[in-house]
Amino acid sequence: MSLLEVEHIKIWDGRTGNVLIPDSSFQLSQGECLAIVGESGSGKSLTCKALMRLNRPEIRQSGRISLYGVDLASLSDKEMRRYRGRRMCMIMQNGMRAFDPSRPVGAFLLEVLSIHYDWSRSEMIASLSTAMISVGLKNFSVVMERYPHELSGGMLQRVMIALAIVMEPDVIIADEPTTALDAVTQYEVVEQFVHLRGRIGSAIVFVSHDLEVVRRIADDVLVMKDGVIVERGKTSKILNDASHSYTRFLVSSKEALRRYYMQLMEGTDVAKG
Amino acid sequence: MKLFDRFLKDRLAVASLAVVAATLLIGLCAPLIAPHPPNEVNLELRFASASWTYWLGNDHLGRCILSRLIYGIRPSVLWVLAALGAAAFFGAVLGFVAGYFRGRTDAVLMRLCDVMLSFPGYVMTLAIVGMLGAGLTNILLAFVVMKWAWFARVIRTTVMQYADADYVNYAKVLGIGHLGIMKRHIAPAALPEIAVIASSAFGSMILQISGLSFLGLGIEAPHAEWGMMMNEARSVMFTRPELMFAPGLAIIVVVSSVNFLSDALQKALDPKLVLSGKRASILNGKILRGLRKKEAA
Repeated sequence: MSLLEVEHIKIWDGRTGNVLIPDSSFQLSQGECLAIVGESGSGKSLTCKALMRLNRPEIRQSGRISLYGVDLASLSDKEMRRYRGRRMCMIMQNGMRAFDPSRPVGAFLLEVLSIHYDWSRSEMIASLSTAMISVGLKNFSVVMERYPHELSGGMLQRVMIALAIVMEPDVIIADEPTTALDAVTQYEVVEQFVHLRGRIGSAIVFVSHDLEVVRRIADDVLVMKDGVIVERGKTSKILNDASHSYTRFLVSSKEALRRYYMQLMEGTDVAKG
Repeated sequence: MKLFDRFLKDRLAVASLAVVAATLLIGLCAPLIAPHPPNEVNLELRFASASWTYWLGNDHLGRCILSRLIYGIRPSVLWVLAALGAAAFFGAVLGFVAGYFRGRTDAVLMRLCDVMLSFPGYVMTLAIVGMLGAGLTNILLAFVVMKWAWFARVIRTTVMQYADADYVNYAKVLGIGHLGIMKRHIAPAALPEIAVIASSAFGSMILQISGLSFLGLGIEAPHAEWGMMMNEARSVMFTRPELMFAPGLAIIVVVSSVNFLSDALQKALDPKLVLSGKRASILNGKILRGLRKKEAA
């Protein structure tokens, strides 16, 4: 049985009646990493938010989303809260905006942990520090005391990953976690995701429009266009030999961009630039 | 605290904060500071001029004006502050609920606010006082009844801004409950703005209560209140204008300090709000003009 099953999910705007996602279905099995790719506005983030029941009340959804066979729509708010975090964890796009600006990062992390676990403060700090060190945040105590604006986007992204490591959820949903980062930090964060897969057996839904990142991390790829899933398959197959014209277009435009870049960089010393 | 530093750099802000704080303190410690009991009648000293024992002179019953001024802080400022606190509290609770949950809750609460806001404030206050009878308690009650809707409306808009923020979503995703999010993640961000709108309402409420007391709808006779002191001095306005100046000046000083304070608070809070800061100072000017008019009346 699949870990997460999404069956015939339909999302529409309750006020205007616009259908945003007509009919999507996909499954995710344990430990799998599924990448959702597509251009901006293709409904990737909307799908993610639907999984977490995070869409605004005016955005309606129907269909069945089940985790281990439990229909998430049937859960009350209170039961859903127990699923959020512990069973399904989300990593946000922009680290700078994902943390409460009025409190130190550490206070927030401890609050989250105290909701899900009845650990003592020292236990919480111990497990957080192990997780943070494993994602490359060396001076743990400094990070804990800082306010979000005093840390970089990449660091905050890694703090979120560290929190996911501590929570050990069944599913991690990462909504374009590398989009807001510069190339070097992007690389580091992707590496952390690869490690994360090795460390905990969570399944990952990885939303991105960066095909290079997807190639590095995902087992399967799901291509979306205008709210419709146009293709699904193994990463290598999709990226090298796609059957749908849109996927080929996505891959080729990325290729074209890369070729142009290479052409520009030809003859110059890349390391210096 | 960046906010506090910026606030302290503004000299006018510090001065008005000092005036407001001093007023509140003097009002709280009135029995210790006032040289005479405020209701002590001494007919031999009717309309006596200022002397060393009675610094500001005596009124038509020979009561010490300075003492009455000091005791007058209690209804004029302190009780108004309490009413403001109550109205802001109710408004904040409803505004948080409406702004955070949206949807049907929001619609119902906001229509209720619309109903409340469609009554003109003064008329509604007069109606409540007319129904329940004159007296400080009833006026304060009328204030709370009238003001909560306005607070709810403004606070709802503030909360909505933050309820959409990514960090609130992230907190939700991590399983933090609604109450926790509102208390620890939205309230600290929204609180400064609530402070600004509450302080700007404070000035106008002080004026209103003085105005209503001036009309004889406020506090009952022997107790001191600034508006009522002005009313009592009305009959001798031309022979002894200083009897009117004392409470009049007190009102002007306190109300302008409160307005400057809320202005400065707003500026310190957010450079983005300079535009609405301008609006507040226009309002401020209007209030002052209105006050002078009333004093002249």
